[in-house]
Amino acid sequence: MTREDPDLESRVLFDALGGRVSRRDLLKGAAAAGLSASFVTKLADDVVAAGNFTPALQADVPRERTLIVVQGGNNGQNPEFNNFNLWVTSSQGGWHAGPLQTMNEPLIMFNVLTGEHENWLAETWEYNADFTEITMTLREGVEWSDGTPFTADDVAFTFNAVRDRQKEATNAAEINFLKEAVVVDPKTVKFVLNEANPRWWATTLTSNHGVVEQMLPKHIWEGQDLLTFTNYDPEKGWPVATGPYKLTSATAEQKIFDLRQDWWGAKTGWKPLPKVERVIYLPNADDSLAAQQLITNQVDMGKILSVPTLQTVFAQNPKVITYSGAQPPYGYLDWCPIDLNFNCATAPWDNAELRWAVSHAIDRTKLVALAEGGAGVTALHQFTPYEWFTPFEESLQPLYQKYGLDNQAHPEKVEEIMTKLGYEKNGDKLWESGGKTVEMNIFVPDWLKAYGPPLTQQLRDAGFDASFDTSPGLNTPYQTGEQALGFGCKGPAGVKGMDPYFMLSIYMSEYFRPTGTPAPIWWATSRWQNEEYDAVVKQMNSLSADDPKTMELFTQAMDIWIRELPDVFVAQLVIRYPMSTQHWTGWPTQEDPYGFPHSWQQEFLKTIIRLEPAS
Amino acid sequence: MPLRYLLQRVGAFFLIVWAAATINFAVPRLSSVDPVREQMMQSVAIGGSSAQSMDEVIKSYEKRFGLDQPLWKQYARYIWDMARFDFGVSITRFPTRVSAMIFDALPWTLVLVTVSTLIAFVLGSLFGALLAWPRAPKFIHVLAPPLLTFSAIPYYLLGLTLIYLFAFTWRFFPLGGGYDIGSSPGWSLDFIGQAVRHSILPALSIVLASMGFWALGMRAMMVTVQGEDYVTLAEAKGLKSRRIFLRYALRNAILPQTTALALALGHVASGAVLVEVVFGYPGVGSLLYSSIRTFDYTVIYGLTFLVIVAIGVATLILDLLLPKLDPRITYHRR
Repeated sequence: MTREDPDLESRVLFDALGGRVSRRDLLKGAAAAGLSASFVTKLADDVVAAGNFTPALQADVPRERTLIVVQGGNNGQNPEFNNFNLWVTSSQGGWHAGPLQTMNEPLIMFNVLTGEHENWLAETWEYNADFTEITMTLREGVEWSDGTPFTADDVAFTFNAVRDRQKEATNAAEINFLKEAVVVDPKTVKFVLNEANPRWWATTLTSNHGVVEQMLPKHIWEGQDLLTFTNYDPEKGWPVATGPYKLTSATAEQKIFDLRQDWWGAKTGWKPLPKVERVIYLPNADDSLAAQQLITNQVDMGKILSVPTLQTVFAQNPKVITYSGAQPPYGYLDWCPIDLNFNCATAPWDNAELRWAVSHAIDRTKLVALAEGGAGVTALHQFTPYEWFTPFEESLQPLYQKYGLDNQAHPEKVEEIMTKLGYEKNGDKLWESGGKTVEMNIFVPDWLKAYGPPLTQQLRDAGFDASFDTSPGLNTPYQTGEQALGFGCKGPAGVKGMDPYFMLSIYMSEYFRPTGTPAPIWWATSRWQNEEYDAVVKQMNSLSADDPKTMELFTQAMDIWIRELPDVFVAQLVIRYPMSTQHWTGWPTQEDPYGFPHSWQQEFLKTIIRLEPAS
Repeated sequence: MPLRYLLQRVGAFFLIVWAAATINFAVPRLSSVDPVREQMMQSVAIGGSSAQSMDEVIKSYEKRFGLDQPLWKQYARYIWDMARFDFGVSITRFPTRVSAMIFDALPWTLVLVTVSTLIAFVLGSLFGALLAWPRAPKFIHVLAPPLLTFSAIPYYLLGLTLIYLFAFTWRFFPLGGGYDIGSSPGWSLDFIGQAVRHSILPALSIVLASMGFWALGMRAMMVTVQGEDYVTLAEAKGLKSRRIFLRYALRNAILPQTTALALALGHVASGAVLVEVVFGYPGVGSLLYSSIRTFDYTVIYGLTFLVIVAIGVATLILDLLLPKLDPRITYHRR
């Protein structure tokens, strides 16, 4: 490029817009054109940040060797496509939509549905006697995608870096328990904890959630700001990860990942090279477009769909299945049971008897049938009935009897309680005291809106002055408690160590905040306090799930919880991902639950590796 | 053009942009929603990966975005940033720059909406003129009811119908998006072909839905113009019907249409929100829609400001050009 070229300036801009030049070439060309340095730098930054600059695609991969998945973004666009940093707010559509499942590998892979785990980057690990240290040995032969060996240095760097910025970083749950990650030798790392924590391995070292969802190559991240580094520079081959796929192209419309023939897992013979040669992550679209994509076999795994939409898809494309085939509940139970949340610190909801009256007013079986298209599962408490929970569920049976907690509505019990509390029915058949009805304005988020009408109708039938509101603006007052009643879900039930401790702990006083102050963690919105309960649950903190005392304490805690009923749970959350067998077979199903078929979760890598071409 | 008139118009332009920008700043803040908290909650709700202390994370982000500052300071900083077209960093897609996001989406919208607006203008105006012209072919009157019916159907409904018929049932066109699955944007002929193919249905929905608007306006003006003395004179002189239609009637009737076209082109920067959303088109409309859904103040500010400036510039150009186009309009006060 020379200054004599009269069209130079426009060509530079044209090329930049078209993504045909790198940042460096753009700067060079523009400088030659005499454009101002600040303008050019800003333009270059914007062009690169906008993701217009993408390397050329590899040779075309046939459709039958391409896996097309819908996840992240909305309306066919994913504006977070060019973020490859888990620790910032945009990671939900960024790192979590594609890179996590194709490029990242966890230390330990965990299957929340079965409770099984598989050491992945880690070869072995063990706690010390008092659960204050974990020593982990890494697998031999693991390499980053740029050929650099993966070592204990990288692991320690990742954990210590997140620990240092935990007050600002997202996805840093439970890192506060880490005192220091120490490199023992290139293949051994020791995690030293602040206090005994027998479940930290599950909450923090596995693919469940948190730190291992992005293992950081120290040679790239060292010296970068954890909270502003986008980790995206195709010219340098970034992002660098250890997984079997590399990023080939990223735009707001799609992310493309191509198979790395040099993946360490296959090179060392640990795993076979996946049959899927290319993975494409498309952004979410509206339900009708999502259904059309599935019916026409344009995608292999769609977004989560409602029961009626799924039934339409099944009718028009028998190749589409779900985790439970084409049978109810058309999916699997997630770790987040659905509840009617009370602000128990605000009158009249500070009265346990009134909360019980509400519980008795709800016919959970009918409610769930109506809201979930006849394919739902009811819930009475905050736990998901995974297999590991079975003995705990059995221990709750006597408590259900004792307190009369079940799925049916009991109008006579509502009447008894409300009369005892001094309420009388007015002309509209609503309970009233001192001229005031029991007003229940319930925030129902958009994704649970199907519950709004039947829930309020049941409550009104029982005499409560109920209504629902789906305004998204109520999310914030719901968290601060100023919106006293809200419909939502609470979890993760079972992800945090396959023992009931976490879902009991969210009701402890340490998470209590006065109305107006947001809950310190998402789930602790009940604002309920009970010293007796605290004392019991606190004892469970340092016990492992298989300790015999755990069951005893669990039953004691739930006795108090059911008696006080700080939350009214109504249903299990069913995740309904449609999966097409047109091009790929071997999806996880309830008959073969080898993985967690959730395209937003790390465990989906297991599915990708396991899939077989249909032809 | 008198200097006084020019200064007045330019002054009015800046005043309008400042007033609109101020409203732009105030309106999202009328909502009780805390955008940072909202984003955090969505993150946690989707993934269940709770931040250790959500409040502290929220505070750190609020500080980063200056949301912890007094309102007047936020306003002063906002006006200063807008004046320099520095839209800052997206709240929900941190640390992506808003200008980068707009830069990415704008070309798609400019091409789609400008081309379809111009097509709708030309076809609609011509159709409207012929509707009012007594010597027009009869089939024009047959076409009138269906075409005018389309103008009563909202863009998005028309869009859904087009998708169902042409993309889902007959599979002539793709279901949505800006280009094929598995493609990477570039200036190759193949990619341009894909982009054109993907834009046909969205463009068609805009053209069909807005042609009626242009046709009705033009028809009304043509009816008025036909009664003018110069048309009667032209007929009396025995000029050819085609010449009277094009040179005497159409040319005079189209002036108000041109004003409306300039304003419509000013709106191009805002995109055709619903069309882009229905078709999953990667333009400014889709960006605006998702930003509103996620309370991304900085993106909303950036996009709205861009629209304000675009409409302001279109109006300014019109103010300066109209007296040249239409002698009945003058630069001077009467």
